[in-house]
This record gives sequence, C-alpha cells and structure tokens, in this order.
Amino acid sequence: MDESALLENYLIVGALLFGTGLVGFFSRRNMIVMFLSAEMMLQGVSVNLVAWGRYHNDWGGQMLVIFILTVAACEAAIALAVVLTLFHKSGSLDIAIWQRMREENQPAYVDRDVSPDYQPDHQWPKLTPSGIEPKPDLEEITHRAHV
Amino acid sequence: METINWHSFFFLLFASLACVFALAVVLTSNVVRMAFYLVLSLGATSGLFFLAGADFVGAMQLMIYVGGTLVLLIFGVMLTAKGPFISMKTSAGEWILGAIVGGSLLTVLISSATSVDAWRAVPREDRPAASQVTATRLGLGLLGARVDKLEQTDATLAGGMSGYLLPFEIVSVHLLVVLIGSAYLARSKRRAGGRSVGDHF
Repeated sequence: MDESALLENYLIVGALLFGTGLVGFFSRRNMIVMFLSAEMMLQGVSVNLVAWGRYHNDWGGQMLVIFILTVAACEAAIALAVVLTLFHKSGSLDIAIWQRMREENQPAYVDRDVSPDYQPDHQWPKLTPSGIEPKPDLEEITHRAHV
Repeated sequence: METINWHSFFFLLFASLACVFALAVVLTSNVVRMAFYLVLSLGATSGLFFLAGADFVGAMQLMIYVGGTLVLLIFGVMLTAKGPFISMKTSAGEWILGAIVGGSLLTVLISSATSVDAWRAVPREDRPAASQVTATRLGLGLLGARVDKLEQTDATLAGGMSGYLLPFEIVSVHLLVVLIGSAYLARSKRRAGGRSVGDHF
C-alpha cells in the first residue's frame, strides 16, 4: 500500500466516470448511447463504494456493489427491450422522435442542423381496405420468424 | 536504480484507461466502437477493483458486465443497425449545456473529494478488507452473517450488522421478474393478419 491507493484518488476516478457519463447522458440523442452513459455513471458509484468500504474496513461497500451489478443487469435487459420496441415502432434510435411524451409546458425540440444527406421517409398513401376480408393464414400466424 | 512502485503504476494505468475510454464513449459517433470503448473502460474499472482488494467484485464485474451485459448490448446494436444511419448530431448549444451541468457537478465532487485531509491517510496493511480473500466473507454477508463484524459488542449497532439476506432475495426475484418482462416486451409480435407490428409503421 502506498500513496496511490488513497481513498481520495478512488473518489476522483469515480467522480470522473460519473461526470463523463452525465455529460454523455445529457448531450447524446442515440438511445443506446444514453444507456451506455448510464452504465458509466453506475461504474463511478461502484468505484466510490469499493473505496469507501476499504477505507472504513467494512464489507458492506463490496456487497452493495454486487447489488449494483445485479440491478445494472436488470436495467440492461429492460432498457434493451424498450429500445428494441421503440426502434420497431419508429425505425430510428433517435430519442427526439419520442418528444411528444414531454411535459405539456415544455417547448418542442427543433432539430436545428439537419445533415444535408438526411431525407425523411417517403409516406406512401394507404388505400382503404375493401372487398371480402381474406381468411387469416393460420400457418403464417403460428410461424415464428424470430425465436 | 529506483524500484518502480507497481501499485502506483497500475493504479495510474487503470484509472487513466477508465477515464480516457469513458471520454471516448461520449465523444465517438459510431455506436459499435462506443460499445467496445465501454468494454475497455469497464475492464479497467475492474482492474481498479482488484487493486482495491475487492477480488470477488472485480471478477463479478468482468463476468457480468463485460461478459454478459455488453454482449447483450452489442446484440441490441446489431438488431437495430439496419438501414442507413441517420446522423443524430446534437447541436453545440446542447453540448455546452450538458458540459456545464456535468462539469459543475464534477467540480463539486472533486473539490469535496480533495477537501478532507483524513482521506489522504495511507491505508494500513493489516486491514482485513484490503488483504484477505473476499469471496467467502461476501457470500456469508449476503446470506445474513457479517463475519467481519463479529466483534461488534454494542447490541444496537450489532442489530444493523445482520447482513443482506432480505435485499439479496428481493434483488434476485427482481432480476427474474425483469428478465421475464423484458423477454415478453421484446418478443416477436404477430397480429391476426399475420404481419408483425413493425410493418404498420
């Protein structure tokens, strides 16, 4: 043990990880990247907990880190499921698409600098369904393309 | 020749790796590279755990995060990475705002971390939390016996040292519920017409 094993150094590293994750969470618009930044903030907290547990000679810090790991695994599973669902609905990972979920008194986010090669999806008109409704294909319903 | 202080060397190595790759995650625009940088950053953090004497937690970090969570994440990236990437550039105003908020929090955290002299004390070698094999004690603590606090004689304090059995059970059931729920959320949805939900958008 020596001067670089101090509590202070671990606290600084934890603060750097947490601050970097916070900046990333605030300033990126890709949902997966926001999720990565949240994971990084959890890492900063874990570093702090391990350092404090060692400083106070207490094992509670490491046990709490195990809980953080479990909760982070839960978070990863549920966040990826939600991201996949939102991606299937909108076709994009941009969080700004879902801005109608904002609070009522908040102004809308306007994309100021759209890249020149960006083209919005062409919206084809849809025909009104008419005629006899075809019977559903049972085989196609029960078929599972993605297991 | 002066001997190299290997503990300092590895601490600086892992700390700088963790912070540099954390910055790279925030600054890169490619999602796949970003996930890889996060793998490196988390690996360096587990190195910090090993240096702090937390063997079991460091190994768990490598196995669960690097081996499990990030593989899951890369699956997510691959599933969503079809078609041309529409660039989602954040404008300079948002960057500045995020940097101000994050930077001010960072300033507060670092100034408070360096403000107490006692936190600069060199840890003693004989501390059990820094020198012994950790897995058995951690496992006993999770099962409800804090073997590191057996010398606690104060009955009031000893009541709080009874381990983490109930949170352990709660978090394991929580994990099970979340895994089932996320599998239900991400299942392939089919309507009566035989088309998946995504076709309607």
